[in-house]
Amino acid sequence: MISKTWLALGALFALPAYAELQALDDDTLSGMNGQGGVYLSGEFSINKDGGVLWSKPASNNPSTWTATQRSCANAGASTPENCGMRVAIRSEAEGGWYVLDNLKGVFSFEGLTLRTRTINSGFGGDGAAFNQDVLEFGLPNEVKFKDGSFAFGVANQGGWQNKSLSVANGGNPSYQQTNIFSAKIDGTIRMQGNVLVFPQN
Amino acid sequence: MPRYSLLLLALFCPLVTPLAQAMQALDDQALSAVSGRDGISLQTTGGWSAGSVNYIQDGQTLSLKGVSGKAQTAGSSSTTTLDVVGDQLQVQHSGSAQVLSIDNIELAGSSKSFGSFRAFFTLGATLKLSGGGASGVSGFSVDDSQLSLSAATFYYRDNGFDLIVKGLSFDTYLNNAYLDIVSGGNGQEIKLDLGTSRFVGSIAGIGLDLAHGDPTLGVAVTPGSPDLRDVDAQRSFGKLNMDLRLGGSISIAGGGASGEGLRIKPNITIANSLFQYQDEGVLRAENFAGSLISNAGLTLDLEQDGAGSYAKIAFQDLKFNATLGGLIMGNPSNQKLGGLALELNFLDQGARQNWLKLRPGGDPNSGQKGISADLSWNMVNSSLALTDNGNSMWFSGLRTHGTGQFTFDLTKSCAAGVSTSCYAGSNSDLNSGGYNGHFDGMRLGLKNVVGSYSFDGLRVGDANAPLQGGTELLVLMEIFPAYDFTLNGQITLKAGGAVGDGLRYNADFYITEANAAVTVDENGRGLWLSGSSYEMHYREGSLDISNNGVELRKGTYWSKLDVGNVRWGDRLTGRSIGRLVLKRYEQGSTLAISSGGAGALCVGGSGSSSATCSASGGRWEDRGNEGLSVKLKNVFVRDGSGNPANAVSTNEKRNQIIIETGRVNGVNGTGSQLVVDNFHTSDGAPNNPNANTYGFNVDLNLDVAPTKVCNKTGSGCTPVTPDPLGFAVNGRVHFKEVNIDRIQHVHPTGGAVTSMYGIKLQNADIRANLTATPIN
Repeated sequence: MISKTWLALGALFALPAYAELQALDDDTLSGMNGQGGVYLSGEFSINKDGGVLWSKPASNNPSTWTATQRSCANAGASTPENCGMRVAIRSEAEGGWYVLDNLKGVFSFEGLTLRTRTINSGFGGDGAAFNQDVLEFGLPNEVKFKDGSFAFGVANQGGWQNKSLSVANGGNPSYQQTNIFSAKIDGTIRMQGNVLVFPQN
Repeated sequence: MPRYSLLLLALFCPLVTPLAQAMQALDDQALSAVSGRDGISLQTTGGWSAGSVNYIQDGQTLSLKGVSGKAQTAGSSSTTTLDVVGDQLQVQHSGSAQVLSIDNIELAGSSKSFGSFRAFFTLGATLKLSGGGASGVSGFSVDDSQLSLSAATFYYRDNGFDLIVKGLSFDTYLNNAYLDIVSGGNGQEIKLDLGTSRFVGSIAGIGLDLAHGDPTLGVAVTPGSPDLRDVDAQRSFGKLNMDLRLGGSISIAGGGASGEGLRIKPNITIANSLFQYQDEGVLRAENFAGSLISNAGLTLDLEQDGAGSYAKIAFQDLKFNATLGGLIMGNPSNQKLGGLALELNFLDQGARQNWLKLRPGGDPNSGQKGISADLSWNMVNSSLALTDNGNSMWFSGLRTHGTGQFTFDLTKSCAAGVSTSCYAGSNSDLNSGGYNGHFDGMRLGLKNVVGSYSFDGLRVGDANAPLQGGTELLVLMEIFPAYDFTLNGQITLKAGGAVGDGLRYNADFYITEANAAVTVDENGRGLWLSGSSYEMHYREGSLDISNNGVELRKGTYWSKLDVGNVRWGDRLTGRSIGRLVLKRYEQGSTLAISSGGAGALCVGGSGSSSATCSASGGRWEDRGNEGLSVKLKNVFVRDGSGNPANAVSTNEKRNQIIIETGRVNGVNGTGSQLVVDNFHTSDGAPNNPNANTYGFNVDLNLDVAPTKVCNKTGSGCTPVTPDPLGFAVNGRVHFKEVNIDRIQHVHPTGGAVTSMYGIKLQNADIRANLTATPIN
């Protein structure tokens, strides 16, 4: 690989008569794939089969759950549902907690690429002035979302506890959480182009 | 060397002389008539000793002091018979159990020594010699000869402590083997043509005796009456078995790299062999093949420099090639890993050379005995290949070079009280990062090891496939595609693992001036952790091979990674996003490697069968029963020293991430910092808030498997057919609860303020199931 690159550079310097750059054909280009480039296919998922802290109970009634069970189906739903990941943040020393709860979903794609790229031309003339390396995330054409969901709320403590159970049984009757809104996402999103990431210290 | 032959002659003369006196010369006819009788039989009893045996070369002397050999049981005798059968001279030796001891191995001019050595063994041999070498005219045939060593135990003693190799035995069978004198590059050399020879060997255990000296002063221990004073005296690093089928040749010539010396040229092939290491589980290669070739040969010289005399082993070139087929890691009935192939090419290139300089005496704080080594290595264009269900993947263009000093000693700490040959150090707090005393065990010291490695990338399918990325997916295991570093520190090993055989270790590593790539292309441009230092401390860790695979327990572990600059582009001149510091404090963290990859799974949907997966909109991928699985578990422990208000804690045993930007002249601490402080894992158990055993887990299944790939030049997804092979990594990050005590912001003049007073993450099971293929 390196030798080919040097060969190409050598050819550039050794033959000033052919100072014009020639476009590389596809074969040559594909031969020059360095290790810096990678094409990723597959999926990224959060709690697609539930999480590891809470298991799915047999019913959706919180008073029947054990200390390590939790269902994240809407209150009153007939069947229980696996829970997603939960993130809680406290912004005041003795304050309440913002909660992003039941965060889950499957995102699958073919063709997320990652490579390092030097930008020193193009971009309507801005490229030459920019002249630095970027990390290029080539977006897959299609990203499928499946069973995506999250809920945003506030709570009086960081960790979730079952308010229907006594403290002795691992619950906490004084626990409060109020969900402000929740969302569900399913479908396909078209994402084209590149995301370029570069440092700005 | 001449002194050896003199010694042997002196030994045999008294035995042979009385027989010779009574012997009459036989004429040819008479001789031919006596063939078929019993021949000559020699019975030897007693022993021998020498005050000193010296090997002198180019003015340097390697000296074995106080050398003796005798029967283990006084009065027992060894029998040697010589007979002529057909055109062969047959020598049969049936030895009684012997003990060989060397009180000290020294290099003249040094006050230090390599240590002492004793061997208990029984030797048996059948030597069948006939005229005619490999070329058929000159030389000897040694076909059908056999050498066996049984019931052998070796003791290496350093500063009063012993390294013991127990129950060693081997049998060597020479088939179609010839001994010739041939013309080598530098004159005549002796060449042993191995034909189709076989070497069967085993070691029942390797242990350490860390009780100083012998139980009874002046009475050396024997395998039959071992020293059991040390608690770990009976424990072992494990058992080894091998059955090698060897071919090729070994040549030995005079003349080292310079002047006198010895030159050994291996050209050995190994085929259809078996190798096994056994703890509770096994590490076994059922079909081991390979070769070891050095054209210029390995040279052995005695030399001297400003630091004293040394024995130098050097090779200009060495090629080692091994294919480990049918590799099993853990339970033999479990899934297999597949195959693993190594191709290592060592080659001298200018100042980058391959040599080892052995000097007497180890670490300066470990007495007069031990071994020091200056090492220089240069490996070029090597590769490591993994074969999984018939699909192969190459970590291609692996290069590494470096130099450094290593020391080997048997050491003891003074933690259990001051005892002979223990070393407490000037900081004797074993549980601090600054501890500089010794630990109990076999200590390997590392000093100024300046090295680097890199590999070009992956090739999937065949060895000439285009290079591709994918090594980025291994960064979670701290395997970087390129790394250069300066390493100091030590690792001290004790025999016996967490259970049964295996090893336990204490280690401190200090890596400085390091540059590690997270992703890099063929021109060295990528994402670099440059100007890094990495300090790592392990206490009471262990390594075992159990039925679950390789299990590395980190014990109590704390570390500080300080990345001077996270750079884009060139590792030294690329633009930086600033400084990154990662401090970790863990207890009970583990790393487990086992065979068997992801198996069959659902991508883009859910379901445990092809039908349910397809029904949920996913794609069912079967990655076969082979492959590799890695489980990393990090149990982050909360630092109980408190969270000082308006200040950033500097406690060394704490989990903390610091990102610093806008430093003045690159001086650490002069910029603005974002601090993720005192993060830790928890089991999230309502009734037991302090439980912390589940940890932060990363599970990786590595396979080489085909996957669906779209041609990106078109719109939508135009599939590439057939599905190309890729490096498939099925990753899973899961934890019950991760807590962050606070997020702080630090301004160089304003000081530290807290912006978040707690973050709690619960119930996570995040999966990334990715296959890396070349960019289309």
